[in-house]
Amino acid sequence: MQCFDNCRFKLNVSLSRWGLFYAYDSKIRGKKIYRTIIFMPCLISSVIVGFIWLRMFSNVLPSLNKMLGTNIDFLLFGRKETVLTGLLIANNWQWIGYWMLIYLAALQSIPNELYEAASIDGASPFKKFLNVTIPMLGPAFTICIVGITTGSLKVYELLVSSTRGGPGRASTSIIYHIYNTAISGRQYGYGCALSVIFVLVLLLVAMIQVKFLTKKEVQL
Amino acid sequence: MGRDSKKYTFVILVTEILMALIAVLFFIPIIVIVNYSFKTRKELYLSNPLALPESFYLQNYVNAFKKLNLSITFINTLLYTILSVVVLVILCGASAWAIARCKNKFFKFSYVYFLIGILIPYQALFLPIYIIGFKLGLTNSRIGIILMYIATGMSFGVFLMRSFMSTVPLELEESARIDGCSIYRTYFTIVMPLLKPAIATLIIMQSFQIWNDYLMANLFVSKNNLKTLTVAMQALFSQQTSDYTTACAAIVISVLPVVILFTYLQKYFVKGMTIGALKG
Repeated sequence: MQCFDNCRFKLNVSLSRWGLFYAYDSKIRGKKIYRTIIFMPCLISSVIVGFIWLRMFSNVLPSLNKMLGTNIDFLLFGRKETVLTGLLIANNWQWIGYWMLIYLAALQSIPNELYEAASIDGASPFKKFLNVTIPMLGPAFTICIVGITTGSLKVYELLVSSTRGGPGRASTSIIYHIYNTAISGRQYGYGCALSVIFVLVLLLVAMIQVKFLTKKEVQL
Repeated sequence: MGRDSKKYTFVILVTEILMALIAVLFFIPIIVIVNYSFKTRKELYLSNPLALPESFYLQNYVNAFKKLNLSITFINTLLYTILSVVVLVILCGASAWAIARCKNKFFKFSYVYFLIGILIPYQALFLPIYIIGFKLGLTNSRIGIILMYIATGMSFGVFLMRSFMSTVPLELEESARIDGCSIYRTYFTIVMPLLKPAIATLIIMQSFQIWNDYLMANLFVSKNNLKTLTVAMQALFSQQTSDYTTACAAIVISVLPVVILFTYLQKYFVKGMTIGALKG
């Protein structure tokens, strides 16, 4: 089975930590506009997102290249080595706003007294972040990591309009593979077996993550 | 968040600049698509992508309207979305109420059963779902696809409603009972109005999901007059490889209603996402 998504979701997880940085400083001007802009792509269907990024990589960015006189290779969907990076960018562009919102809600639910107590004890802003914010965000981390993992494992619609699993089979996800074997290849039995195994893997991954992460959460 | 000083420091300035940069990067694809949808074919190849179009060239939109078969696909998508969401609201509320109020083993089991549905996305099980639907003769029928949307949306809906159920005071129900309300009347006149915020978020979340769904619609519907918007979009994308201005116009057409709805309902949307996620 093509489990290439694996490396994708790991990167996804690390990137979504941006949410912290973005949401933490609520003093900046126009934060509502930023929130809306970054959230906007997740209203768009994944099929459309795939198409937009196909065009971005193959037409728009190269012509920007020409305009600026630079020589960066933007044809990420064309090669086996870079196709996952391209899909990662597209997928993150779509979903970062969503996970940010969850971090944001978690941040806003941290009681103010904890920060006050920390500053009375003479904690620096960095220490406050490390010892108050991060432990209090435990549940949000769990949700985001589990959600991003299952979300990335089920990626299908993004591929339909962008890479179609190619070049070769470099970006074929599990669901895409099942679809190809069962619906296009008419091997229904084999396809069903694949999806049963896939469900077991999904459950296992989710269980392990939940077990591991809830241990690290802090209860008030 | 524990910060009393409102000084405008250097750090804030740097953050602001960084945020603006990120926002611009996020916005570029959207601008480019909107921009391209007004360009002619010639401009597509000659001008640079960020330049404004020479004139508002609306032929793209006319073409997209025809190619998407918009009058049919739009109404189809709307119909599927509205019908499935209405049924979902009634069913999810009722089952969550039953799960919250009845404390025997059967209801506990069914709650866990619903929760498993959140962990396993329906995309992982699309093949068995499709085979069952095919054997039951539900493919290529409006009822079939609506039933499938209802079934796949149930687990999240029950979870959301169940976590809201603690806001419904038990005393109200009891006094309704004493006054001689039947169980249905208690639900529809007492419980349902109290669940309004949960219902609003459920409606929004599910309708966005169903509106944007591709896999289920693609599997269950192949007749032209039953197709949904996203399926028609995908067909359009695969036709248009070199001249994609029409496809850009189609994207704008299909995204516009969603964006308008979102700007009106932003508050509920954000609330629903975060409550659904953080209360688990």
